[in-house]
Amino acid sequence: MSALRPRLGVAVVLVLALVIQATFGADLRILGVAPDLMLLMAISAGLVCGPNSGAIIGFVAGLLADLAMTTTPLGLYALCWCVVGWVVGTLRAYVLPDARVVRPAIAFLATVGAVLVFLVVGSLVGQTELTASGRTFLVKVLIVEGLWNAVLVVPATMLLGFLARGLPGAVALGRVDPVPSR
Amino acid sequence: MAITRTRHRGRYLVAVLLLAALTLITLSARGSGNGALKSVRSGFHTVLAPVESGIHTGLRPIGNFFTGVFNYGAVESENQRLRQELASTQGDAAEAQYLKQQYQQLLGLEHLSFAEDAKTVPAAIVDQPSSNFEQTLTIDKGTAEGLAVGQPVVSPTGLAGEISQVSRTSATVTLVTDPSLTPAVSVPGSNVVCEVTGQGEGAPLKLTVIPTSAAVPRLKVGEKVTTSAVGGGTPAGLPVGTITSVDNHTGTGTPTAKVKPATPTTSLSYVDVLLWSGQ
Repeated sequence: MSALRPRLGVAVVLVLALVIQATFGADLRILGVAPDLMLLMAISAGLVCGPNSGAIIGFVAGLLADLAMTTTPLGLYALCWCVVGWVVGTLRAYVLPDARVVRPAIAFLATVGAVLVFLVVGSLVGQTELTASGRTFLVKVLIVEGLWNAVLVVPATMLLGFLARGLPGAVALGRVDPVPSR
Repeated sequence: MAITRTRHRGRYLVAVLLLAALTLITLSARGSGNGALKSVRSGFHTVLAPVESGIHTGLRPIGNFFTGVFNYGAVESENQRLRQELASTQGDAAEAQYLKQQYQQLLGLEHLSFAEDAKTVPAAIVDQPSSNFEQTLTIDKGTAEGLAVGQPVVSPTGLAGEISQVSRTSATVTLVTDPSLTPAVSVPGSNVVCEVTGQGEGAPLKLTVIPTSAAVPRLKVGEKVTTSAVGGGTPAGLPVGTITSVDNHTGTGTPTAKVKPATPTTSLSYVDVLLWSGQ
């Protein structure tokens, strides 16, 4: 029962992120590159909630992104963002420091890695058109999307950290307190 | 001991999630065109499209409201007042220009210089592409108006894209600039069929000659490229773009060219859907 509220909170944030992405993604383009809020959610979840919750939240965020897409096969984003959430969560749990100042750098590198994973996995499942836009555009996507997430990761992790209080992974990381049992 | 158990559980969890995602990808790839997963996506778009449209429409008055609040009751100097008047006039002029542009687009759609015999459904664009890897638009018409997957979508100047997903009240249009869309096209003075492939927003289309036993055409800069009826995907003769550069000496022996799209996909407000059944 105590874990229901954080789960609901995280679910609401994911749906909100999807609506913002679908509605304002085009308006927020810099150099033709839009931010990817669902990837941001996966990275933030890994940082705040650890590997297991990071994988689950990444999977759900990816699945929502998949549903909003048209040409890519359903499950591609879910697969990639699940891996990203888990990897970031694992690195955070065993390697990375828990300092807010390094989160933007982590988010930038994680975004670059995540987009590369997405392109490679996409090509493996036959989505060769993902790389058809050319190397220049892809480099631009890596840098601009990385910078977007480096900026947005601070408020995103604060929000997720607040909402995820009580999730087992978040408690295990020692950053957020468990919800007091009644 | 407990830590080891948690780690093992975590690995199982990730393995299950990855398996679920791979299953979805497989089912999605096998059931392309229709199937349960396509219906789920279509249903999701049916729910999401009105939300996006509503938020877009809803935020415009809020912006106007704040503009009014900032100006209301303020004691400003003459200079500021004049500046505001000027800004307001410029705003009005910009709005008038925008409305004129929209009117011209609608007027253009009423009198298409191509596909004159085709039955069309005009549609407003309710959302622009929000992903970096998909060039799609959402329009406010769906199966209720006779729209179906595969129908060509045009602007007053030419081919804009193709319906790739449709629900009752909205549809997703994959633009010609999307790499997944490869319409068959023809060049003047040649029977050889070519295809164009999108290279992303703002980039020219890539024209490739489909190798056949027929003589390879010599492409020229400035030539107009139009859709071909081969394959039945689109009616013949829809303007696709203009050749801007040619490479007649590629290693494969078949020439390629860069084509400037006839439709400026980033500034569209309205489009026409051709109710084409692929004869």
